[in-house]
Amino acid sequence: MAEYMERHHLVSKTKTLLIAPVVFLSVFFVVPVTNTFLRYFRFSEFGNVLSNQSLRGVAWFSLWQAVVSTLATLAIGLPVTWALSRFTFRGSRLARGILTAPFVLPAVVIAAGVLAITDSRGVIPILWAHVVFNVSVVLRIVGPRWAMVNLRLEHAAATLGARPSHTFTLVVLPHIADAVISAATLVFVYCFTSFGVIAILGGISRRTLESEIFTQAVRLGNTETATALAVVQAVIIGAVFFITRRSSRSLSTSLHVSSPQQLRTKPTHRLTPLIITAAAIVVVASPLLATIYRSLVVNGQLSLSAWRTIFSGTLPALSVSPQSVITTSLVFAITAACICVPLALLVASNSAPRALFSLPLAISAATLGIGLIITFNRSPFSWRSERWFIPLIHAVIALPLMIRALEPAAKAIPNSLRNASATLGASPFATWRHVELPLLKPALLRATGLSMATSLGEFGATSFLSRSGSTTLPIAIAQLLGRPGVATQQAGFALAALMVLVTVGVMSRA
Amino acid sequence: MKFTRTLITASLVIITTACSSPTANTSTDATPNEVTLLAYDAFTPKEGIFDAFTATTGAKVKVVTSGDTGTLISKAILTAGNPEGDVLWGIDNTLLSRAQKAELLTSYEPVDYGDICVNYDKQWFTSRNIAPPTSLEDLALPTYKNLLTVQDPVASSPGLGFLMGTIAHFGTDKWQAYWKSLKANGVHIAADWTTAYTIDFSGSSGKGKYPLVVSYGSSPPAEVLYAEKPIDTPPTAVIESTCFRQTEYVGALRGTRNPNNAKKLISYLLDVSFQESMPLSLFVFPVNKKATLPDLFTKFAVAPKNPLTLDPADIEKNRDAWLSTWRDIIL
Amino acid sequence: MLKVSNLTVAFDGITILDEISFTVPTGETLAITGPSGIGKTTLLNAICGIIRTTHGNVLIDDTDITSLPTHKRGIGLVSQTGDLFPTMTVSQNIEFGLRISRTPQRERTVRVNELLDLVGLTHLAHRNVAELSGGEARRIALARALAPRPQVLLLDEPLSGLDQETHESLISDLARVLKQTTTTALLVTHDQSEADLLANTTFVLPRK
Repeated sequence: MAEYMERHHLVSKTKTLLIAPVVFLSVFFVVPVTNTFLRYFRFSEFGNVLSNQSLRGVAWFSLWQAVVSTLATLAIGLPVTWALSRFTFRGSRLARGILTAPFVLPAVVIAAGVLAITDSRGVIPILWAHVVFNVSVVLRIVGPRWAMVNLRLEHAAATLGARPSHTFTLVVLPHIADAVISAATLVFVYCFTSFGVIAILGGISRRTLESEIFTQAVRLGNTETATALAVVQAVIIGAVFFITRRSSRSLSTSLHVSSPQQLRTKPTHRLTPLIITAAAIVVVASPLLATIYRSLVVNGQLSLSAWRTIFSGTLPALSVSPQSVITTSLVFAITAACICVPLALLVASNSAPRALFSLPLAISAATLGIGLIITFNRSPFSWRSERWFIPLIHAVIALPLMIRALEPAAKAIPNSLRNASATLGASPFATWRHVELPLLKPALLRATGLSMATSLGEFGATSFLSRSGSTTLPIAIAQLLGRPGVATQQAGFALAALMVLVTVGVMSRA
Repeated sequence: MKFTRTLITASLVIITTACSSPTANTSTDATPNEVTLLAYDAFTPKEGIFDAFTATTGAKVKVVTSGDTGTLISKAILTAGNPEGDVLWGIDNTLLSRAQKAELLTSYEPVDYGDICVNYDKQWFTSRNIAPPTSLEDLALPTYKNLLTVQDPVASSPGLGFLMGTIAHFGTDKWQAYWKSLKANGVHIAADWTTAYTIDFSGSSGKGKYPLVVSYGSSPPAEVLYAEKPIDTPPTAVIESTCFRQTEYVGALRGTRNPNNAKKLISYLLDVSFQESMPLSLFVFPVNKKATLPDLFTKFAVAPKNPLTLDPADIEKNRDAWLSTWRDIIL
Repeated sequence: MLKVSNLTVAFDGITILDEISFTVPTGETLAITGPSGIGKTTLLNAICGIIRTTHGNVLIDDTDITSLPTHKRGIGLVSQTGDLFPTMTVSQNIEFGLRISRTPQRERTVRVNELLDLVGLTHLAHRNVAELSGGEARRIALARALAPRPQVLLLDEPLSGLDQETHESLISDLARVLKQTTTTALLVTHDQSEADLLANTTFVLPRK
């Protein structure tokens, strides 16, 4: 009875704390988006959009390229997730860093890298860029869960005669299925709403709903059409969430908690993870290498001048120094992580309304951007041009991803552990601090990395927010690449390459 | 959970009320020590250029940037009447009418101009002993097959300028045929200026496949100023007869809280000292006749006496129809 | 017949098993004893191929299986922790090896019932494995390992950590099962009385 009371007490305590993320999301997401819809949604325009042949084509292309991109990402991402969460070997941390780095990079860098290699636009380069971008999502979300699957279960299956493929489908997959579905859903949504990659690699005939929403809202000034398209997009994404939510719920199970183990197997087995990892790195890293190559080679000759320029403390043609650009980006990323990770942890460790916290993924960045500037525009809420407003919005955008990254690990902590701790006289906070937190630590570190990555690379909703003296890395890179002159463009690629190298460094530690 | 619900409702109510409350109209400046200039990301004035303004007026200039020209103007229109700043920099003649329709500005004046022109890779043509094209018509000739890359006019302002130039040159009934012949001659459509110039174009850093690109009349001096190693002449040049005039405007935003400072800042932006700083910081020509041009500009930048032009009202009236016709031809 | 000859296992230059050799005649049970930490579990893992042997051979009926992967060795294992699949029911766990070998459904059902009967837990067939007691889990793990009729059965401390009553009932059941199924078995234990009761011979693992 005492045990029951303690547990009940604990649950209600953390439930109360859920107010924080709910209020945060309501104020900085629900209100502005509602404002946009209230002001610009017209039923008549909605009808026009649905009956427009070319817009239907755009919706169809968004859908099928997203499905194919997701399958391709899983095909490359799952094997390497297995290799990196099951084995540690020399260079495995570096491999993890390299595979995660693209998530931080502005789309222009990845797309330019892919383009430098394929030398053509179209569906294949788009798929490639999407895979490069999203393998990290699979790695970060499925990896921690996979590491928790008890290795001895796989041994047991082998002693019963199961081939590795059988062991995977019958024993491992049921354990990681909800993480895989969670990752696949996210990848689908990212590809479905892809904007930067499509703009560069799609040419003008390949458009997604998201890029069409931007075109309508920003280029043509048709806010009503853009809003109607945003509704179409939200409905499709909402449907996908609804379907995957049901299947992931039915498959979720309780798990043994065990730390990843180093497997000492036969030499042939030892080579497989190395080969898989190497293959994934070739796919992901070659566009990144193309970026580094372009920062170093001018007219076929090696030149360090762009790097010298960056380290000498000036950026050609921009009135900001590279140090201030890097500092701004890091301050934003750290601030966003400080806001986002605790909120996400609260949501992930409670059964919070999932639909509410998935909203930022379903709503077009343009819709949010417009909402922000027409909502936070009067005192005392005149925040739209405030410096701190940008990392705050980064946190909103990163929140759904964080929750998904933390949830599998948080769910895997058996209640019996909490009960045990409570019966030993630990307060709910002490239980959380000494029992749950250490178990969540690897997942938390990964989530923090992802949150910082989202902030560093975000180029959608916050491009609607005005900035005064707070140029971030993606904006500086886009500006440098957006001007004539070999030196400015070299500096742009050098800055992008620096971002690649720093990210690989940070990610291989997190 | 009841508490949660109450809290959410309360915060929603507060915010909604706050957003709908009207702003007070003031005849004197709300913040006399400050004036905010809204501009696009590419607005990178010479360092310290506003110090003189602050010294004479006592007001600090806060430059607030967001996105490209399209984003800037769309945002300004969405917030018309309750602007984020006092002065808007960067509306051009292709967007001017849209701004007028939204009553975005209380007053506006041209502040700079430049041209959107086809640039070419000098070395590519000399090494092959081919004369570079000299007119829009030339671009459709077999000699120049598969050599030109232009930007999508929907997404890119130089792309739109080039399309407007062809309409100005060929007339509203013949430009369609010209674009059909350009398409048959292998014109490449890039998403934006960056892709066209830094990836497709052979004459700059990208070493792409296309020796002809739509860019600016001021791109050649930029190639000299930001060369990788010091050079005397640019590797690129401009085909003058393809140039479409782009004029940028500066204006006071309707609803500004600092109308007096806004007025002062606009006259400062039109004054000789600022106008003379523009060519090498923003790569545009000054509108102030008294401003002298730097050598680099007089030597390499191009601003033809009689560029192609269109009436902003015509552009606004027909833009969407022209763009969709263009799409039908190209796709 | 299981034959282990000159089996050596070393990790990162540290020798854990050094030149171990023994033979278990068909149908007999050999007990492996020795103090904890001596490498008993490592020996079983090496025999069934979960870990890599540095050198030496494992033979079943004169066939060298040293280089075969675990799933092709035909060796069953009941580990110390049971390792039942938590995503499956009790009978699905037992059925697993038969499902893998594509045994017809009817045969599978018969065999599962037979094994449930053998370990005396027919009433638990549709239980979730999380609901089983320690002793029940051990019995199911044993049934699961026996289902595909392995040529050799490895038992890793199958009776450790149970209360006195469960221990006693399980030890007599285990003796009965080993006799009934005439399996060639290798039993790892630290308890000499257990070895005496269940095994034909005892092999004391030497110190390195």
